Amino acid sequence: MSDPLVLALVAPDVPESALAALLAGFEEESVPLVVERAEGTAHELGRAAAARALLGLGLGLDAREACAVLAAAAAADYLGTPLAGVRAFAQDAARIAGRRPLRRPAIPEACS
Amino acid sequence: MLVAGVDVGNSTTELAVARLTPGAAPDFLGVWRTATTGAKGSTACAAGVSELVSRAERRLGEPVHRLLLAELDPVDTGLVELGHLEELDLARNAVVRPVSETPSGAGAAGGRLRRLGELEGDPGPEAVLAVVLDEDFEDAAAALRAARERGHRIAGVIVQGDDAVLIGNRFDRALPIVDEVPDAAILPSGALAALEVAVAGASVSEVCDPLQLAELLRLGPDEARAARHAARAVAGRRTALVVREAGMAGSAAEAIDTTVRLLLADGTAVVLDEREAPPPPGSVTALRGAAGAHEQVLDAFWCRLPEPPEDPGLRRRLQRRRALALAVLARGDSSDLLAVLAQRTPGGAQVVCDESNAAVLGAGTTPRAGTTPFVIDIGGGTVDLHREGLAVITAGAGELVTRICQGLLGVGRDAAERAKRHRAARVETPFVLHHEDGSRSFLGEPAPPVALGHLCVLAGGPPEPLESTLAPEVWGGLRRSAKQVVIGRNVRRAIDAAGGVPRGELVTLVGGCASDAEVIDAVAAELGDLDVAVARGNVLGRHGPRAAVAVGLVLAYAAGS
Repeated sequence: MSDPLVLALVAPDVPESALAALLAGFEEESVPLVVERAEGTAHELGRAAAARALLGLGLGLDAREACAVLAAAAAADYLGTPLAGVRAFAQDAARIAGRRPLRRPAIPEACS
Repeated sequence: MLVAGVDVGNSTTELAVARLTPGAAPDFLGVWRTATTGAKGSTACAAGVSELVSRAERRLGEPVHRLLLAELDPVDTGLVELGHLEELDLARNAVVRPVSETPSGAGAAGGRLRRLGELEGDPGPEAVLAVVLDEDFEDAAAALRAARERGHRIAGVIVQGDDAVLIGNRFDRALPIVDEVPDAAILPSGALAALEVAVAGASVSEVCDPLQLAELLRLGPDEARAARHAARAVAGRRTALVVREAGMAGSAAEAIDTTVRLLLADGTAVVLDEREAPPPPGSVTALRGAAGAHEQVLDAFWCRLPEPPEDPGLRRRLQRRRALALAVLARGDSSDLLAVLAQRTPGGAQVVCDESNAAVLGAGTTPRAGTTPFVIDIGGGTVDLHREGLAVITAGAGELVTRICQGLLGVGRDAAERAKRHRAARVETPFVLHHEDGSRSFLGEPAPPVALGHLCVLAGGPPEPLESTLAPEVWGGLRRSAKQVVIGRNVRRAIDAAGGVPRGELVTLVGGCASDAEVIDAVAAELGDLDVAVARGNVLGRHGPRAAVAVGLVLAYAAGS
């Protein structure tokens, strides 16, 4: 089996609803995500995931929060959210992988 | 005795303070500048002037005795969105443009708008466009599958939230589905609508065709104009939604004035044609219509937003937008400002000369400039050409370029000003910058997440994100084009109005915009066929091209006193 492009390591006590929101966010952005269950805090899991992901982007989820960690700057979270906001977080994380701007509130008419 | 030359510009106010000693040349002690407070020449400008005088006095430890000003004529700059006015004038069609960044499927579809709940009954004969509001994507997909099984002809789906791909994956991947439609809840159920999703990287091809749109919305021959405007409004976008609303009052739409009318010096009135070049300074005496009313006009300049040939989608959006960058120079009355400023210093305030004479004198302090026969002062509001005995002032300069940048980028004025002055790059990944020349560089620290994928201003610090995802090459070209179109062309207009410049002559550029190397390039390119030398002023040998008028006012006062 090939290595994942983006990997999420999810603690055992993360509810299924949060996991579903994580997957939905990546699916909406059409970015593939591999999810595995593992033990640790969100940051520890994100760091471990980033080390294994081909794109150098790892996600970690524990019962309190979710974070995205870059393999090249693994000391700190690059993006984070309380678990309640995991759907929007997942779409933003997918956009980091896809090199697209993060989601933002609608902006006035522009030409871009 | 200290005196201060005060140059109140449309964007910037500058102050040059000098000590005057009888029989000696003025001893310039410093130059200060700040943003102009209020319209040029209005009493609101006194606040900025007073603050500058206070700063100078604190720094010099001595009060300023007298303020010296020039005659002040204000410039009004702005963007007139003619295309937007036409959209308001759509008669019976309301245009909705979803912000969908992740639509599903592809293709165009037309049909009657129906909420999910309305699809629980028996199917009708017509195709429908289903509207999903706050339903969960799993539930919405199940309802759509059930409706199709009951015989409803679902041609497309409109989703309020950001669930198009999720619904498409569970219902029909090929069907066009647009999402992130913020006003989906107020779409009129039962109304005819047309939607289209283009494949990634392309823009809509059917609903931007007025005949096809008329077919999808069943518009009659008497509604051809509305179809044309609606089709133009959605051109160049990846997703589009046009809703036909019956019963919108045509009379209200007709009340919208979508033209700008010019009153010319010969007494005639014409409708401004944005494809035509502006006439020479002095030709237009007043404006009416969509740009507001302007009286006692000295010059009017306009141009369309620059269009990038390398980005056809953006080009079409700009074309349908028909934004008109407009600068109007009108005769001003600064007597009230003078009266207010006269209270600020013991020696009062006085008008010394016009701006052009002051600029010539100030530019003449540039080392090796000699008598500087041709001086072009490129400020915020105007491009002024000065030569002995003659001045030509044209409306439209740095501020108009800023407004164009604002219109192109969809950002506020301060961000546009910075984007005008500095290079930009796109943050391609957290560590990689994509520059305007196509090169890439690596960042030592990851860029902030909000900057990812965005065009960012590079002003020496961390990348400053703009609300734009334009390719850096495209933006760099647009920015330079804006400077060429406004400043380059206005320099040319001024020179033509002055009767030309002899071959081999030296043209000295001063003013805030002359500190921008791209402006110098734009002017040099515009004057390439005239075989003239273009140089940048260096006022007093140390202030660059700035403060020429402020310094010149002191010199004019000293020469006359």
